[in-house]
Amino acid sequence: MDVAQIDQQTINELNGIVESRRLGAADQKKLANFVAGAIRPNRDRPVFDLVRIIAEIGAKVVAGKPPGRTDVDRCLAVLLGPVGAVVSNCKGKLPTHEIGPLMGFLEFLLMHSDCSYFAEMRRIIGELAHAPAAGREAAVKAAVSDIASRLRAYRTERFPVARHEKVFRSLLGYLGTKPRRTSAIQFDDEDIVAFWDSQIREGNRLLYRTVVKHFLTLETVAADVSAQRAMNDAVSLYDSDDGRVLAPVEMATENVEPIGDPIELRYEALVEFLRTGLPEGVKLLTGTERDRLADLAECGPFTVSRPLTALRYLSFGAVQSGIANFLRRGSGGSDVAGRVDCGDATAYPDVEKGYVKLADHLSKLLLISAFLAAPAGNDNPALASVEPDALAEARREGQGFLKRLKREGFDEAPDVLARSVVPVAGELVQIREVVQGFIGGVGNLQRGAELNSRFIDDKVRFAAAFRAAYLAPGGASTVPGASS
Amino acid sequence: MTKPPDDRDQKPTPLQLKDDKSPAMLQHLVAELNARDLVTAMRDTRAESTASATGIANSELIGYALRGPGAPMDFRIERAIRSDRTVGLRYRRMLQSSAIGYSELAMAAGTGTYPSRRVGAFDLRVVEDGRDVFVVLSQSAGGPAGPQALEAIGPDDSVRIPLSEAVRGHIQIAIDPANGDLSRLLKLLGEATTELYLI
Repeated sequence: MDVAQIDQQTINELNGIVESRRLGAADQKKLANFVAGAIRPNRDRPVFDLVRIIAEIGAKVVAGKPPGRTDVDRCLAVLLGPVGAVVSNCKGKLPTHEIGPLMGFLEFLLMHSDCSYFAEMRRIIGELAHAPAAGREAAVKAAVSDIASRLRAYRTERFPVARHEKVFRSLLGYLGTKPRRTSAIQFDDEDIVAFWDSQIREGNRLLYRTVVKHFLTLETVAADVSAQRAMNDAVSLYDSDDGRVLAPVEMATENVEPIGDPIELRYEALVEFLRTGLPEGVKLLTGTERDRLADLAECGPFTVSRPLTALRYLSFGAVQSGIANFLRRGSGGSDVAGRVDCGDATAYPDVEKGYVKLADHLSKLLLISAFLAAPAGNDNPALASVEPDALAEARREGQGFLKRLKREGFDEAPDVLARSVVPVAGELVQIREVVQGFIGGVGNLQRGAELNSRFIDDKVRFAAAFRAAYLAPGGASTVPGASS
Repeated sequence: MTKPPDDRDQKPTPLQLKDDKSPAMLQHLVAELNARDLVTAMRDTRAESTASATGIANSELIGYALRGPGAPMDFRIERAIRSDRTVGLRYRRMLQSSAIGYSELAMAAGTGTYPSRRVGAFDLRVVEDGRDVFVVLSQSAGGPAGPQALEAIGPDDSVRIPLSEAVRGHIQIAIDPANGDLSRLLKLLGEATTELYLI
């Protein structure tokens, strides 16, 4: 697995912080992003935000008293105390929406590498707290520079770079060779499959699904920062080699006001929900249905913007993952030679039909949920805007579906069933939206060329690549690489 | 949407780093994947192990290491400091960060049972006078403000003793054998690997 390459000490450190601070999924992700430097356009922005919070609180703690030996300890007690107190100390002066993960980040800076930076952090906190108002800006810059440089060294030491860098370097290189491009990050369905194919031909047996995920990442990163900014702006606020300021500090605070979760995160949350969040005891989705929906949600925004890539992901991606799993286990189902020709690949029209059926099933579940929620009264604000007649009709329909749905758990008393079904209705709505978006995208695709002829063309192409990858001399004997 | 097939026969060429702005993009991409791997690994690790090893939050340990000289001992944290190598190391590094002086190891055993120590700007000696035993801390000229406590951490035990004001640069602790903490201090001072911190 990929993740085995991540430093275990870092993982344990962050998990300790997540557990003691009870950070939710979104804050965990932010904390991991801060530590890994996955912040755009400027990865030092959280360092800057944190340092300003320390300076603000530090100045308050030591104000009006002669400097004493316990100053830093008192600052630390406030900073590491209840988040609410930190927020109220900063209110009106600094952005407060990220304080939970930022204080977790401070904890990480204090504790990482068995506290070998602890004394340095105490010194920094002391200097920030004692800086006179006129020297505050300079103290902030010096502190950001110190911490950013420390983090850079930490990342170099603890995070694997080589493999990710290699694949993205070739990916960007590949896109760079394309003529008629205004930007290196423009790509289409053909680029994705062609890049994957070129990697296969070079003997690098990447999974097609992995390549799709890389392109999704590329699109996310490029969309976050406008492409122009990402490519031209400094990645770091400070050049850690000589402390020279590379970008004005003010830049760091631009656009840090709370924004909605990035689109990608919403898809990730749905995949997570499908894997672990479905209620127990009632079979809303069968195992197969759940897996197919998770596979689709993994395609993220491509479900709508690149339905052809999603179709390939679902159909031929599954074939390749089957080969990879077979090679890993050394047994189970058809052998490699029986799989490379893609005889088991689901034809695109059938993929589409399958998701139309799933969308229909999800709609029924939602009507059932509406029926089950009825006795709880009209306290659901979302229903307030629905015509009462239409709502009553939907509930009657839902009641009918509930009677006819012969699945495990659906014979429970309505009030019992309501407790497990109604709370997940929001997720079911979102999943249905993903499915419907995909079906709409596939509909548009069909205007270009008939779905089955696309499938037949792709089958020839994928089968040829699979043969090259897994049946060429020495091909099938080794386990293919990354699967994330 | 589909392009002519000759498009895909082009061989990828490496980036020309000199006039290409992609290194920044590359850094962002690698960091993004690292962050994702990290989140996945964190989740997988949490799924495997139910609780953190010691159950002591970082803020607790920090608060304890930086507690006032007279604050009471917390036996749960003390136990973790001694039983968990990592917790112990962290605690000592925190203590070092706030200590006026510390000594990790006795330099060489002197003539007596108790090796002399240099702890920051202080020399520590154990003076035996008949049946009476004293621990004497002597400040070198121009040392920092007086310490308020002496913490000794050995492999199996640790103790924190409040200190009185220095008189003419000397702080003297009379070891009363009936006092448990002082007896433990004396025993710890007999071991060369005992670490000393002036708080």
